[in-house]
Amino acid sequence: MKKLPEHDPKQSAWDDLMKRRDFDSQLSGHLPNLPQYFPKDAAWERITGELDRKKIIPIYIRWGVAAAIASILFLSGITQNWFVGETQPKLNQGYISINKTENQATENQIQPFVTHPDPGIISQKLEKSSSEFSKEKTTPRSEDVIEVPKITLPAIEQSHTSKLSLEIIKMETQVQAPQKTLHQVSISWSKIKPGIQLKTPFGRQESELGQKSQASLDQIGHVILELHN
Amino acid sequence: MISQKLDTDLISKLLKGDRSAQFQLFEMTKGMLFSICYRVTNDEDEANDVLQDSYVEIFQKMHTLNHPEALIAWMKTITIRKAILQSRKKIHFEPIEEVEMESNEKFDSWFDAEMLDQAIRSLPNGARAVFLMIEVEGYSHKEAAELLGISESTSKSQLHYAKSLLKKRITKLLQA
Repeated sequence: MKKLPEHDPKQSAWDDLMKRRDFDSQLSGHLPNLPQYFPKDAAWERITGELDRKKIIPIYIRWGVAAAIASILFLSGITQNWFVGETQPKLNQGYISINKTENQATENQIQPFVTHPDPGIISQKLEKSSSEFSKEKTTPRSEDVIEVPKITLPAIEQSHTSKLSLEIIKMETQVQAPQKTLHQVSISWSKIKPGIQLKTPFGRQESELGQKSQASLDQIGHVILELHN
Repeated sequence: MISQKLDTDLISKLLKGDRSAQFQLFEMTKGMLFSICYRVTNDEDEANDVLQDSYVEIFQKMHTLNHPEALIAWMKTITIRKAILQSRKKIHFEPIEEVEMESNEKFDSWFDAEMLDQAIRSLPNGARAVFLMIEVEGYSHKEAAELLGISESTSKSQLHYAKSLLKKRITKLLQA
């Protein structure tokens, strides 16, 4: 067997080795090779579950919803103002017409619009306007005073009146009492179980019956409308 | 290595929110990110929670990434921020004066990465956080100080303190 020749290292080899023994050199050498740790096996399922739960709503949908709400509010504001605007001139119209008649009488003198006029002035104005209208009519009115016939009503005893009032109250309470029924209608719509269900809760206690109709939302998103009438 | 595997096709799929591409990225990076979480929090359950939150944020904000080539660094930043936020209540910075070390003492022992990892995990929370951010993740003192809510000088002194403690703990481990 042939012996291969030996080679000696550099004289500085030992010193270089000792330099690498230095703490900082060893630290920088080992830091990139630190052992890795791994998460639990269910980590991916947890992440996907969380991602599905927190699905991002696209920005255009958000803007669309915001615009829809804003437009609804805007339109409701317009319609409200419109109705208020419709009612207000109607209320003032009568007063304006009075002013007009007065203006005609006072040779087109412009009167400032008073929002809260004195009731006495209004009555005077009404009288004036009525007199104006009366002038236009050709048929003269009779100035005879029509007497109202006196009607004497029989006096009712206090005991009778109290009884009557009690009876009325009783009748009112009877009308207000809800009608008892055993029928219940449930309307639900969903991907799983769409349709309308009619339930008849036989065997329920009397206290459960006669409840008000109500709509409720269950856990899987069904909207249940309960009608008890 | 990971950056090489992240080809343009995978990145484009990730940007579209493709679930299989997301899984591929998770498989590639889970060890790296979980190690960060685990070393910062020093608690396995907390680390799992932080990892989950980090990946959810990564996948949700993927479309905001302007430079896809910086994906890994971006993922690391998100994870380390979340880990620090999670363990912020636990992070306390011990006053250095009380535990002054003989830092000039010559260290003449060989140690390996396993031993170093053991010593890192035994460090106090504050010093460990600074050491991991600067020495392992490559943050500057300024960045680390901002993230941890401390001054730059505190960051420097905590790093020095962490290194001194590591020397001491490794020497102890070698003697055991």
